[in-house]
Amino acid sequence: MAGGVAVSIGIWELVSATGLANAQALASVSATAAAIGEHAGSLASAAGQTIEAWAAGLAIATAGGVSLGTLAGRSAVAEASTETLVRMMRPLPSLALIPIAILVAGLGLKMTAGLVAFTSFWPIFINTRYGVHQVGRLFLETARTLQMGRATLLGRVVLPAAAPLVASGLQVAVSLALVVTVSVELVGGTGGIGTYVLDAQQGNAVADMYAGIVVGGFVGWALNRGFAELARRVLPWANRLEAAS
Amino acid sequence: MPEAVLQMSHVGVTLSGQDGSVVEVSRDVSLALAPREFVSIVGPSGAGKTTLLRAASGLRRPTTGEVSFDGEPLTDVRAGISVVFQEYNKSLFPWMSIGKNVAMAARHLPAAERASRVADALRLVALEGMGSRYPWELSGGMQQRAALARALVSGPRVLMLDEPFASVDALTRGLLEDVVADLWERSSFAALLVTHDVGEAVYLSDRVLVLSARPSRIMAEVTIDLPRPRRQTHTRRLQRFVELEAEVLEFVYKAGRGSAGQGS
Repeated sequence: MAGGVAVSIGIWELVSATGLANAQALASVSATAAAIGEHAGSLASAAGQTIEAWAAGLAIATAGGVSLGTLAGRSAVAEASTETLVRMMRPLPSLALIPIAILVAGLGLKMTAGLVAFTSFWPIFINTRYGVHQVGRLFLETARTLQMGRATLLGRVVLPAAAPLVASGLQVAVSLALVVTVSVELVGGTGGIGTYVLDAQQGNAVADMYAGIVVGGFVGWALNRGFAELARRVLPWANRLEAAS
Repeated sequence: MPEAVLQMSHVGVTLSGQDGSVVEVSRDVSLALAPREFVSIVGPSGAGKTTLLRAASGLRRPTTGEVSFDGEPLTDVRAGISVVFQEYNKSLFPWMSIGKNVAMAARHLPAAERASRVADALRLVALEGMGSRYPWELSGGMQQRAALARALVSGPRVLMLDEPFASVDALTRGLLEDVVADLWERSSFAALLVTHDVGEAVYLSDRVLVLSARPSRIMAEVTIDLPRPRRQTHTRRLQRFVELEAEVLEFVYKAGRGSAGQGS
């Protein structure tokens, strides 16, 4: 990982130093680093805004996706009937919904979070539905022989058994939600890293623009990595389950 | 003869596949399991041994006939009947420690009593002090012993074993058979074992029932008059053991030839 980053930075520096790319289009590594240092405060607060909208949207998507996905996965009828909905709604580009979202929620955190929630709902919902649907037959029969009621069955067997798949849906959603957050900020000018990059570009502050992009990339990497680590700790049985089935 | 704890009367099971195919797995199987009795069901593969056990445990309703437990019709799984499955790695919950897995079967008891029952059950299967380990940290034999502890912690009247040792190596298998023999001798449950291993059935049982090929019925019953306690090192060497094993095996082969002749 560190090697890949070092090589990328090396190529970046090479391209800008040799004048291969227009200085108006590509800031040098050192200029970008200087811009990050100079505007650390405003970059940090922009990153904070982005993470806030990301977290709000993702929280809604998780709550909705896991609960509805569980319901749909437990019943063959619900699974079949939600399939049509998934096929219709999922390919909708969330950026095309920005005008509607602005009309409904106005410009701001609510609108961004709403669009993020809409987009990241689908991978969570689909994976939860599948995870719940494919819980091992023997786990369910064992639960029956232990006379588990509905609540116990759901909490102690179905959800833990589905958790590894739910987590991989969430892993996709974590990245997708950030892409949507920054895109909405970039288009809607609602604050955060996206708007920071947009403002810098319009103000012709090239190094500043790259500073925003680098910080955005770092935030994405950190959120992704953080979630993967969390999942690994909370679900230590995840890769054992696959080995067993 | 005391009244049966579990009785199957003229049980038939017909399975219908998703593709619309219909298979009559068993036809007219009757058996009675007396309290504290150890009965095994053997038969050629495809005779529907596992399907019968599922019907006997309440996991599946028979298509025809009736199962009764304690004199009452059995229409679903119920307390008093425990089941140990072949595939322990798909039956023990990997998200729970061994102790929690066992405690799930005693979850209605007060915490203090539950803890002592779980500890007792783990000690009985020689997993004392292993309660905090996870199933995937243990060997196959240990996992199946944990599954046995979970099945026995509730103090069942009937223990059903579905090919319980088919997924472990031969040495572990012998050790596990002795664990079961020992638990059965020391406790008061009746056991119904389904196995394709004739020697295992003879070694553990009071009676061995031989199923015919599909649609299966009970084609023979062999009473096992071997002395107890039974131990691998001497029971299997007895002349009587060898005779009984040969007798049961002959029935199984006869049943298998029947199915080959029918081409099913």
